[in-house]
Parts: sequence; structure tokens; C-alpha cells
Amino acid sequence: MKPCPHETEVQAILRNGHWPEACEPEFRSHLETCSTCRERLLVLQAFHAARTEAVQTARVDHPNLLWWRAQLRRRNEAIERVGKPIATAQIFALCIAIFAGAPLLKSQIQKGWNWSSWLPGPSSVSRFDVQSLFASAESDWSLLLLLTGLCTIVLLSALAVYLATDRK
Amino acid sequence: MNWDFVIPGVKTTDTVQVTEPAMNSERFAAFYERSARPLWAYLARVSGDPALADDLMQESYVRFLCASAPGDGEVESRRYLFRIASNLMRDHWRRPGTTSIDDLPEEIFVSVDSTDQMDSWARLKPAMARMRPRDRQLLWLAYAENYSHREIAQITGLAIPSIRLLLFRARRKISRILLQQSELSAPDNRRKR
Repeated sequence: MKPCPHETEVQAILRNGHWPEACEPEFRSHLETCSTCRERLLVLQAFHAARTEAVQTARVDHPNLLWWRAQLRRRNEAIERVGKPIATAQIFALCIAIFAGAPLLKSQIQKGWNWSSWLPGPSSVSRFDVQSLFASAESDWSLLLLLTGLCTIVLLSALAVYLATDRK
Repeated sequence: MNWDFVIPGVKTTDTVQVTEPAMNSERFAAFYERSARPLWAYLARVSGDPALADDLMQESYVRFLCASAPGDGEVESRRYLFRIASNLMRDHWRRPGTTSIDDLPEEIFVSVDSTDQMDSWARLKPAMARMRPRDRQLLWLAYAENYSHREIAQITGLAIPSIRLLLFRARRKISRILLQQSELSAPDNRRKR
């Protein structure tokens, strides 16, 4: 791998179109003795000719098409960047809903789903009416808390699921 | 309420803020006019597949335009573009299920390439088909695009000493193949005369 001092000359001669007719006789005689330059000339000639032909036959689109495609991609990437923290917030909301719902569910399982005990018995109220429900809620705060908590969890979960699926 | 304070990164403006591209459309059109054909030539001749070259060229330009800083000046931008194209070509070869150019039979190239009739490429193509993809890349960049070792290093991501050695070996190999081909075709030419 010994470099020849004429290596750059080969490239210049070929690029300027001096090869073969307008080439210096000294360089021509150098080529007869230097295998590296001969090799380089052969490869350069082959590649230059192939490039010239390929450039002429190249199939190129209109630049505007690529410009708009790039604009669209940039916009989509920007939207995705903005959407990332929102998605994180949605996941966070879902986690909170699960963490709030799990202890409640656990307590209810332990109580044996005995929700009817909170409601006034059929003996005291003969038929369902709103006034009696409020009256029972006033007397028993745990029922009100339970209903509010359940509603909040259901609403939050529904919102989180909706937002998460809506993004897709 | 400023949501930026609550959730960092959330923009509360109505429109999504898209950063301005480094080139405007007129500048890009002019740059494209000058660089598209050499880039296509590089991709088509190194991959051996003009259809793939079309796809990779489009993707290269789109990625080039999406880049925040594609480079200052024509030379730098062109080098950056070739770098993107080289990476895309390398990704294509690395992708599982993609047949490497070395594994494809010669007939496939003949049927795909409509420019086969041309003398220069017809002479170089069999020699290129016998080279490894990386060697083809290096040879094209060095001898067709006239890039220096330093520039090739920037495009391919290889170290300059490695490029020097790889290019020396690749040049030696391809010149041997080209010489063999010319020796083989010489008796045929004499017979024709």
C-alpha cells in the first residue's frame, strides 16, 4: 500500500478531460511503470463513465412533492411531541383511578357486598321516593361518600379510556 | 391557566408549533436540482436496484428536510444528504428478510435495470456485483463522486485509516476484475472484427 506522488494527478487529468489525447508524455511514461496509477486510472475511468451515464438516466421527482411530504412529517412529529406529555397524564389519571378503586373494592369484598344494609329497610319505607333516600343519606354519610367516590372513579376511568383510545 | 406549568412540554396555543425548516422551498428546489441526479446514481449503482434507489432517494430528501441542522453551504448539505442515503441503504441491507445484493442472481438485475444497454455500466456492473456492499459504497464515493477520505469518513462513519485500507483493497480487487473482463472480451472483439 505504497502511495504514489502522481495519484492526485491521475484524478485531475481525468476530471479535466486530458486523458488520453491531451495527457503529458511524462505522465504517460510514468503510467507504464507505475501499477498503482494504472490501477487508479482504470477504476476512475470506469466509475466516471458509469456516473455520467447514471446521472443522465436518473429518475427524479418534482421537488415540491418532497417538500410537502417533509412538511407533513415535521408537523406530525411536532404533534407527537406535544401529545407525549398528555398521554403520560392520561396514564397517570388511569393509575390514580385504579389505586383509588382497588381499596374500595377490597373493603366491599370484605363487607360481603352488603350494600342493602345502608339503605333503609322495606319496613320503614313502603316505596322508593327521593325524599326518603336523601333522608337516609343524611343519617348515613358513608353511603353518600361511597356513591360520590364510585361516580368519580367511573367518570375518571371513562375519561381516561376515552382519551387514550381517541388518540389512536 | 398555564398548562406548561402543570405538564411540561404541553403547548396551549391553538396551532402546533412546527420549527422552521433550514431551507425554504425555492432554495430546496435549486439544491434538489443539483444534487438529485448524483444521489440517484449513487443509490442505484451501489444498491444495483433502481426501484430501491427511487424509494431511498425520496426518503433521504424528506429526512434531510426534517433535520434541524442539515449543514451550512452546498458542499456540507450534499455530504449530509449522502450520509442519510448511506445510512438508509445500510439499514435496508441489515433489515431481516431483505435479500442482500450479493445473494441475488445476476438475471434479476438484468430484468430490473432498464439502463442495462449502456456500455459503461454494462462493463462495471458485473465487477460491482462481485464486490461487497460497503466496498461498492466506498468505491463510488471515492472514484465517481471524488470525495476525499475525510469526506467519506463523514458520510460512512468509518475511520479514515480504515477507509484508506478498505479502499485500497477494493480498488485492487475491482481493477483485477475489470482487467480480467477486458481480457475475456478482447478475443470476442477481435473475432467480431
